Amino acid sequence: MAKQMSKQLIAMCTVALGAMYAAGYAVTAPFADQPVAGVPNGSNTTQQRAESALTDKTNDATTNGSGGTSSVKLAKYIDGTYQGTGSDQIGTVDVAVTIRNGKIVRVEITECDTHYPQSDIDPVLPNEVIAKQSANVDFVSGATLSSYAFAMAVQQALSQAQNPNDKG
Amino acid sequence: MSETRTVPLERRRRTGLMRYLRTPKGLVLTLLCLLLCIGAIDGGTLHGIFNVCVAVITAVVCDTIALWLQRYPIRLSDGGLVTALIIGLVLAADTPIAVVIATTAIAIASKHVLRISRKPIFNPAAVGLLAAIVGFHASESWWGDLSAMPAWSAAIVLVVGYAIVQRVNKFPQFFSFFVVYLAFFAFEGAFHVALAADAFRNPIINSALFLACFMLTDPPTSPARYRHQIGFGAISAIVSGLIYLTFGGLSYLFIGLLSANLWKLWITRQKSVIG
Repeated sequence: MAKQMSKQLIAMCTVALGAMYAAGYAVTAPFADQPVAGVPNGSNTTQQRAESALTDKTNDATTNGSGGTSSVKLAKYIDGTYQGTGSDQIGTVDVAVTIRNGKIVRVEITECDTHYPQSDIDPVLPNEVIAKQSANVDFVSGATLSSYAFAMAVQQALSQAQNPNDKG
Repeated sequence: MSETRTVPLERRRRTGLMRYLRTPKGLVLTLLCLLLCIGAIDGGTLHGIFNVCVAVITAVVCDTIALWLQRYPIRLSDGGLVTALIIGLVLAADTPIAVVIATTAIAIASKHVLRISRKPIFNPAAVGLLAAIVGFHASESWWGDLSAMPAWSAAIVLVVGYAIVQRVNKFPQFFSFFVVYLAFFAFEGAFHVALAADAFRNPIINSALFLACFMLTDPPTSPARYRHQIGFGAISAIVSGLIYLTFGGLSYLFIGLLSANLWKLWITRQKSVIG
């Protein structure tokens, strides 16, 4: 068994660690709290994906949704249930968005593998999406990154539901 | 007459309890319970405490079955209690009970199955919690590291953590982990990697502190010699950092710790081969 480190040495190491922490904190302060979408790789593409994901108008309509019909010509969204995934540095949020008569009627968080419990954003954010009929939700204080991942997931689902005939 | 006999017996029991609480396992149990209370009061919910109780019962049952199967004398394993407490404090408070039971059972099973000469190879809690992420997509909020509280809560985790690091004599390991962790992310931060910024802030820094104080320092799965401790802490930090920046998610700290456990296994085998 190794002998104990002296208290003076422990104190010196603690001060040195404190200084390293303060330096790192200061160096990274200008770009702290910037959510990073998807698998982080530090490239510009990641940031672009984050920005585009939160843009309401998107032409990236894919066909992963189930039960979509083309009967609604003028509605913004096509009826059906659509899945979306949003992720950032603290985990992933999966949602299922249900559209009926062109309106968002149900938003369910199907999975929440983030650093915070699901209860921090559920049911606040799903209800907000239904109320606003949009993915542009107000981020929950203290769960900013989870809110961001949720908004991304909803936006992804809505982009699948987008009615191509809708010009508005 | 009976009263005069009872008093020394009571005192002896109390002294025995005090002596137990001063042992590494006794102290870590006490400190984890302290974090449990602070986290539960702050969260204002009993769900987390309920999960911890479920994990503790599961650990006791699994440990008893494992000891019986191996024909060892049946006794209460305090190591299993520590594992259960850590699992309960890391899993989100709203985790389904089945996931808590499965996670704890996997952790305790790994302790009994993956071992060399009665010592587990991998940190049992890390094995269980990694399996919970991969297998059950469990939500791990690390509420026991007080990450839901304001940023200054990291100071509480640090003070509580120092007590156990001092008791198990693992300061070189703790310091090497954090020197590498902070240097790595400061270097990445200099290149404006946004993820590196989060590594210095709540909740990422709280979970790193919790891991370094309560999981990295587990005596059976970490080395005792100072020079090995330095390597152990450094490997854990560098692997964690690389996984965090490459894949994100929540498993990076566990993968880092399990990699260091493998390195410890390697040096132990080297020693036994050399003699």
